Amino acid sequence: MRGCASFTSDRPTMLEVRDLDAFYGDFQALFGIGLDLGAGETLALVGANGAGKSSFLHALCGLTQAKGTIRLGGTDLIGTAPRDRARAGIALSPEGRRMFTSLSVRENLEIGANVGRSGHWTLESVTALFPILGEFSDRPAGLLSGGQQQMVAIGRALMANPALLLLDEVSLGLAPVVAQEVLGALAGLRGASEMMTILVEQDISRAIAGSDRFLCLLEGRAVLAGESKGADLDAIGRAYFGEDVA
Amino acid sequence: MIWIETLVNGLMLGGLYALFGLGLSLIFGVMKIANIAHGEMVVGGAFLAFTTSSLLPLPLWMTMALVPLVMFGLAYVLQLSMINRVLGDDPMPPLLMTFGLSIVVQNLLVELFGANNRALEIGALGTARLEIGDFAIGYLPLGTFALAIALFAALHRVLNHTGWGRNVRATADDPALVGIFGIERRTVFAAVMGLAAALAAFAGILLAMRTSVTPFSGSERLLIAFEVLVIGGLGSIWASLAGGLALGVIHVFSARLDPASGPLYGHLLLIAILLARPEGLAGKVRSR
Amino acid sequence: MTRTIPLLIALAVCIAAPFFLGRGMLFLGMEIFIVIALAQSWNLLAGYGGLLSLGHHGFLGLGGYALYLLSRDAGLHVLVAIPLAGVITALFAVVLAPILFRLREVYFAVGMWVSAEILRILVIRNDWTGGPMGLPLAGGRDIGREWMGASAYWMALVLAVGVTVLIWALMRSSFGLRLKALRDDELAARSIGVAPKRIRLIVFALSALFAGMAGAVNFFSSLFITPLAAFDIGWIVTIVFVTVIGGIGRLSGPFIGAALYFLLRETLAFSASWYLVALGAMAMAIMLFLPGGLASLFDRIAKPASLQKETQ
Repeated sequence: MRGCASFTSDRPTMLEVRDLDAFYGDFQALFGIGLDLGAGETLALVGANGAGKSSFLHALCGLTQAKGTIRLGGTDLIGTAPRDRARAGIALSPEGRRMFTSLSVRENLEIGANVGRSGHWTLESVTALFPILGEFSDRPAGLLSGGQQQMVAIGRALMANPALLLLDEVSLGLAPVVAQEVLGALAGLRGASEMMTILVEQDISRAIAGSDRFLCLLEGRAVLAGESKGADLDAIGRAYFGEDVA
Repeated sequence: MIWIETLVNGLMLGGLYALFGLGLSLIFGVMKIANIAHGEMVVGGAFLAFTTSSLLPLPLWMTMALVPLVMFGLAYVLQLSMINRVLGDDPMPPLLMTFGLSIVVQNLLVELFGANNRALEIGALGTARLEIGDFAIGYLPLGTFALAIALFAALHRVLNHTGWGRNVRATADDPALVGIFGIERRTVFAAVMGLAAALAAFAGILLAMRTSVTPFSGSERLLIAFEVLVIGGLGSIWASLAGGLALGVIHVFSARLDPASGPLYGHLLLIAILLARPEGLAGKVRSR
Repeated sequence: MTRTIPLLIALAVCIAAPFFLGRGMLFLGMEIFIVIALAQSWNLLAGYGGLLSLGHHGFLGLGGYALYLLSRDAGLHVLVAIPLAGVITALFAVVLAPILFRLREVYFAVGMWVSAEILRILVIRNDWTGGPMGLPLAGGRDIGREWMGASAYWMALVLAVGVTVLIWALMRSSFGLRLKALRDDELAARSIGVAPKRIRLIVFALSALFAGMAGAVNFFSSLFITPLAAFDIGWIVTIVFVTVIGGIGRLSGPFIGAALYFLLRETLAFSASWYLVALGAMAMAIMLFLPGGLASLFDRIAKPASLQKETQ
């Protein structure tokens, strides 16, 4: 039952993950995860706390040790430094937002552009997406509200013009109205470009609604995967809690 | 009048003290470690200047530019090859590492140069005075002070208005995260250590113009640099300037009023600050 | 258990040493045990308590001067004055703690150094303490001349063994568990009800007690004390290098480190400064390649023994 769930995409595969194991020191957080993602697709990563969702994102961008294959646009990135992954086009909006608190909003965004990938996303286009960031551009990022900080974190990741955008718990701890605002802005991006997105979200129905595909993790293993459209929420819910998946 | 002159002299000396503290403050701010070898970097700068000025017929200003450059390189390599490797959650390994380094450098200087007093020959500049009415002040302390302020302003500008400075501040905020934004924290740390060492060496040259130094002069300067940080307050380089000025004034006044006291009143000021205002004169209150 | 018998034999030999060693060797033996006692008291604070001090020479000097003043002004017998000197040093630490504990980790180390400097300057400036010229030991004849060397040696031995046994016992008590929890993760320790300030204060005072007594014994044997010798920064250099090279946070560390230190000092014909360069470089290499010190190397060789120790 808890076999290795995976799926293939009908679009040209841009991201190919195979047999991915991740470790924190001696602790193994992921076991043999595999997935394919096509250009412009959004994948929702669901699972309970500690299922390995953040570990998966960290393994992708090089923040944790990993073994296996991570092929992005044909290049295997396994074993490379976070900096090289960033240059290859992986960008993360981390859980808890992790602002650079002594930097202004604008400087936080500029940090995202460090890797020097050109494309649609610039200070102008990010502030067009989140107008409040333009208004507060000279404020220290640490003084913003949670929702505004989340916008900075997303904007900072977009500034890298990523090929693969990783969004870790973007609505966590936000008031429902603010969460809707952030998620609404993200929904507008879906399918608008070649950029792939992997989003981690606690709320299963929200995650499924905002994605093309989903992957459910349980205790570091992939237990269920499929198309988001018409997905059986009950089945995902059972996989989520490790109940028997038919 | 004499008291105003004393006050001004204290502030001038305080500029130099602040410069001792500047590199230490930078290192602590970015890497959260204390560099026990900081005093040896000051003294090492002075001894490098003695060497270059005796080996090469360079004008003084070129020595003052060359020596910090050499120290930058040495400290850069030191950080990359050794200190980076012991950085972690535990502050003890880098502290013990730099403690070992300070003893090594101190005793190498003794072997290479002997334990004698040495000073930089600067001729008439050492005694020339600017006189305004009754009021007189040496060009050397005045120039030292101006250079110190200029370096504070320059470092402030680099940290707050350049891309590199922005990356340094980001690294200080969250060193574990910056890698995914294309910043290599190991080289940021190395450059910061290099910069701190260059500032220390520059301060060492200014010190050697003013007074004589021995290979053992480092520990006294480390304590001064440390007191500058704690008295001023951690968290901003301008707090170090405030701390330096306060300590300079205390030292000059105590030397006038109680000549045998040495650094005693500076030490006591430190204790008083810790008791009355642990965040320092100009420091931010920490939430932790 | 197999280790107990050789240890007891070694201890018996050390106790009996004054009956077969010459004066020079006995003095060296005392020096070794003083260094071990000091290194172990520093190890208790740094290796077990997580508080790194660069000012233990202040405790040492204070203990030394306390002995001289108690002997001169209170007329106490040295055998009473030496433990009392340790108590006075510990009391000083208790007074100092609330001030220095305000400094964050790294700055505590230098804060200790500054307090040692303050003590040194105050002693130099005071006629009561003999000023820069120092003091002779008033109770220099409390112990007969023929027993001076031996009694200093025995006191040093008692201190070195005493502080080691104390740490050993502490680490097997609930206090030791709390101390360990505090060192490993302060937040987690607080959450299970460990009171960091009180625990650190106790460790700090105990460390000062032994450092002060070691200072008193050391200057008891020299019959004269000067501020230069009592507050010599060289003490802390020796203590730190001995502990770091031997193994910080390990009971055997100071013994191994001191053995190596004195072996090198007595056999190599280096100048003092080359010797310090070598020790400093060795300490740096240890931090880089063998953070547990030489003691961890011995553990690796004798793995079964170390495993036994850890499961106890």
